[in-house]
Amino acid sequence: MVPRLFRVKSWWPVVLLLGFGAALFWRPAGAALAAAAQDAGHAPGAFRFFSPFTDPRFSAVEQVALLVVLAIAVAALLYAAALYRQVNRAGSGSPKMQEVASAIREGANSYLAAQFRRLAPLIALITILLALSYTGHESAFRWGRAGAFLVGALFSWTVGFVGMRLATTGNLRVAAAAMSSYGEAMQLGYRTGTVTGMLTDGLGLLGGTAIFLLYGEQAYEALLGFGFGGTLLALFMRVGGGIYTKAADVGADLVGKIEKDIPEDDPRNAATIADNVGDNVGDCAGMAADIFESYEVTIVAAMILGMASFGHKGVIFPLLVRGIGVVGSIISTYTVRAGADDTSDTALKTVHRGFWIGSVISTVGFFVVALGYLRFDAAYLADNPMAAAGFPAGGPAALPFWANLGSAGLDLRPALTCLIGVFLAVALNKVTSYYTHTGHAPVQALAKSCTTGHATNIIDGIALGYESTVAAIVVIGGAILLSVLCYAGTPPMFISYGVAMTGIGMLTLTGNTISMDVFGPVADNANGIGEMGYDPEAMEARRKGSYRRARQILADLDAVGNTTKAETKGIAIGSAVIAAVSLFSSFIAVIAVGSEDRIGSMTLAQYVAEAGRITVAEPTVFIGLLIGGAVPFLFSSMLLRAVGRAAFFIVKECRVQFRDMEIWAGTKKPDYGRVVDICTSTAQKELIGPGFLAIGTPIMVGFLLGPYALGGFLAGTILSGQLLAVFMANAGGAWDNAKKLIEDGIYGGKGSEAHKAAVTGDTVGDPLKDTAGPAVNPLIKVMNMVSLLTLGLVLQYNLLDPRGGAHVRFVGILVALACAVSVGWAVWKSKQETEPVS
Amino acid sequence: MQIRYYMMCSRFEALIASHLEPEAFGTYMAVGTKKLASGHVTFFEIDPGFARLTDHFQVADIEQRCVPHEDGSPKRSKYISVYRVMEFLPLSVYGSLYLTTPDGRVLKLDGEAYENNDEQDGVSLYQELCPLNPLVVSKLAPARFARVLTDPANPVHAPRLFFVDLQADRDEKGRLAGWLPYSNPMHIEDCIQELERSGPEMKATKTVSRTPLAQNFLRVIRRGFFLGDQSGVKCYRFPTRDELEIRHSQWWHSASAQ
Repeated sequence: MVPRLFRVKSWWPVVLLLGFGAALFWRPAGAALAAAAQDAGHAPGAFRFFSPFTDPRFSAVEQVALLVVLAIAVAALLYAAALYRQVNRAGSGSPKMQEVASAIREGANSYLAAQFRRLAPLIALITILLALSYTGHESAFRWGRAGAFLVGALFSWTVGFVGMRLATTGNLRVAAAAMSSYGEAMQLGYRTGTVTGMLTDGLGLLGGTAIFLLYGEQAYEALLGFGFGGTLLALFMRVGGGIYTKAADVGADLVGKIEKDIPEDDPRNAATIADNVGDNVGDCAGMAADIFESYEVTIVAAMILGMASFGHKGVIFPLLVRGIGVVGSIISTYTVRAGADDTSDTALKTVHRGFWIGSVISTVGFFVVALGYLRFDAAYLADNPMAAAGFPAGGPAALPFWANLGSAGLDLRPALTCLIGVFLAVALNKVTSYYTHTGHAPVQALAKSCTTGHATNIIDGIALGYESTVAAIVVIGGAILLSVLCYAGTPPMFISYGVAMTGIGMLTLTGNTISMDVFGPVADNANGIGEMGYDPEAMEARRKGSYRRARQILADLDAVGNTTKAETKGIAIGSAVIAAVSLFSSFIAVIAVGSEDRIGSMTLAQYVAEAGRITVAEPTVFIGLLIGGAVPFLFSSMLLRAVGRAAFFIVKECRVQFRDMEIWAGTKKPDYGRVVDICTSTAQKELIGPGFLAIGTPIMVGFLLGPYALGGFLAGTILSGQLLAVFMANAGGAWDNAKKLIEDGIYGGKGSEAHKAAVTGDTVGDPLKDTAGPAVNPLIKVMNMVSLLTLGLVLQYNLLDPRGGAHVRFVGILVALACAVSVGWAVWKSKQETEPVS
Repeated sequence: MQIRYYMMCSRFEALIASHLEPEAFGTYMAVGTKKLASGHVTFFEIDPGFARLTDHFQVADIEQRCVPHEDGSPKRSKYISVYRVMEFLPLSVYGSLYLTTPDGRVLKLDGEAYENNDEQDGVSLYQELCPLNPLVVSKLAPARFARVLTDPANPVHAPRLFFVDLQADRDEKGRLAGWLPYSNPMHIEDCIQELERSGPEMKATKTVSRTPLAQNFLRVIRRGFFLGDQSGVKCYRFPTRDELEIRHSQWWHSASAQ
């Protein structure tokens, strides 16, 4: 029987959303805003497309540089295409291996197709709402931000879709290559990941650069739309992928390993293919979309702040840095190779060496560019008067030596803050590695705690996770502090630009980061294909020792993939915080001037006055802070419950299939597709609630308590979200690796009491590290984006102090009520119990 | 349909008639058909001529009792005897030994007369499987261990003994190797050291645990299984790791999964 969950039609939340939209875009108010904008001197018709090519303030060198950046973005896509062909042409193993890989691929495709069908109407609806909600007068901006939202969403989906599709091709090639050579298998696995990495680089850079070329210094609206599109899709990919992967994993383990005592990846288990599909949709599509949106949001933040502080140089420099980073990634990822007889240790060194090579290329590159480009002469400062405030001691010539190397007019601070970002990425990798890798004391101590039982393992794991959050906060706080020091004495907008540039530096090597991440699920799947698809006797008959060697290669690659995958999680979380902190300044700026397109006219006094009002001494701000701090917890709770609900259906289905004795005997194939379908539909269904929470809560707080409370809300979300995400990722990773350490042969190995305790820890940690933890990153950014996009309306219609006049208060009440009902529905839905097991 | 006889040693001791081939019988006993059971099963195939050697079992009418089902499907199990089975089946009737994993994968081990030529010095760890199942450490090599424990002159003896030789690798400090999953490794180490310290006149065997191993023992088997009495010892040699991984990969994967 089809579970009731799948038959419920959830139309009324959509109706609510439409109602909310209708309330928001009540025309008389919009007309009033347009009039206000005109009063402020923004006359219709002032905007021209492609202004960087017509505006005399842009030099020819800058115009060429922008085109070069665009060309680099295209080159990244071409490099990805070349690698795609290379991976695709590699040997694909025996028919049995192909059969297993094909089942995984079909499952992955059906998941993404189902997700696209479910999200497409929502994306279309939001595109329309974004177009309608624009309160200014320029139709190019109206359609710009709606169109950019659509493009951002499509790019994010493309990165996830193509990355996952290739991962499901690459896994088979890696398994086939492992039959002959370690080096070839390693290279294919890494390059499979590189395709996704370069796609992220290419599309992210293409989008940001194209928007700037189209809109020039008035790109704010479109950039926000672009960032929001990528972020929203990433949230859905992360949430859906996370629920899918853990529901399949937990369901497969509960029935297979615990109830039936059968090994992992046993072909008789109906959930085996779904488990392998889950690795791809969670770790590959979800993570790629997540980093893509970080990549987008950091460039959006840097460009917006750059425009509001240093003028167009402040916008073009982050694009140039990104371009250099892409070149660094192309060169360094190509250098990652392994020899035919390498081991996991040497392979890991090769991957890390690639990262270092990329870091050096990028650092040298952006310092060279900075030396040539970041020169602020009197003419530039006259054209961009707000930039003068960035040189507090009397102009560029008065900068200290470390900032201009004694060269008058030179300003190296943007490059230095980028360098801080590069170090931040490395430091976060190290922190994550220290707390989650088997070679370090924390995980070794956690494994030891398993010898005294399940409870001590859980207690120690929680303690480890808590401690790791402090380390991550110290590193991120230190990086922000260094960026602040670089811009000491300048207005907050400039300091925020420095922080945003730290985010740019941090994600300079996105290509390498995603290569490392995607390599994890590819190697994991290849191991599964080897397990299910290799024919040991035939391989041994062809060449003695080849089977054991191939299995060892796959096990080694799996170990390398687990490490590289874990390391990149720290970057994803850190980037969310950096991007959110830098967007916070944009938020205050919009409050100060009333709408996004007037940020350029903001004065320092306005900014300082408004920033000063976001204080916990103000009760509404404090309430916002409390609500914001609580949302990541509620969000995580909804996701964890969703995993439990989805796993329930999978367990039920597997039990039914195990009753078929032919399946038990291995003479009949289980219906893998049925479990894949259940995972797919459940994961899609469970997307809606967390989505409403992420979008509805900031709107509700804003319209109910006003813009300053919304600022408090964002601050609370950033802090608790960061802490919770790091805790969940590191505790889960540590529990996972403590189990692996024991399985490698300490404290009794598999089957021992210590192993049982370790399995408990791993089971608890799995949905933390792979579902809830990673989804908090996009949650933070979505709530930031929603807050920024609706801030203009919040200022006009909020209940406490509407700038649109007391008579429009009812709009605030209506919108807040609609959001409160949506969020309430989402919470209620997340608590619904499933039917008892029959 | 041909009737085959199986002597199950674990989960419990029983003599069973069946129309099933050994592999199918093992799978059936491990996972059942409808009850969705799962668990280790170890059994011998018994020479049908055993009835001529003992009149302990009522098998004269087995052809009437063990008949196919009405739909023509084979009779899977017809119990002939439970409890005190091994003592009444002479050593000569024991055929191949079948090890079945909890999910029904079956490995066949052929027996051979044990020649003692690979006896090793030092203490061994034995898990007795039938008729009782304590875990013991012993200075006796398998053949002597079987002889001593089945010696009627010994006040505590069994008529016949079936046991498995388990890994007890230790480091230079006498600590058991980390991969061994025994639940109380320090107690095993103490027992081994106590035997090593004792002189030749002292006892040669010490009980470590009176309850059977709770965890899967298949992945820690050293030389193999031994079945012995005063008339001799049969050894069912366990395959090497290479043979397990290549020739019996599915069974080994299942056996070493837990």
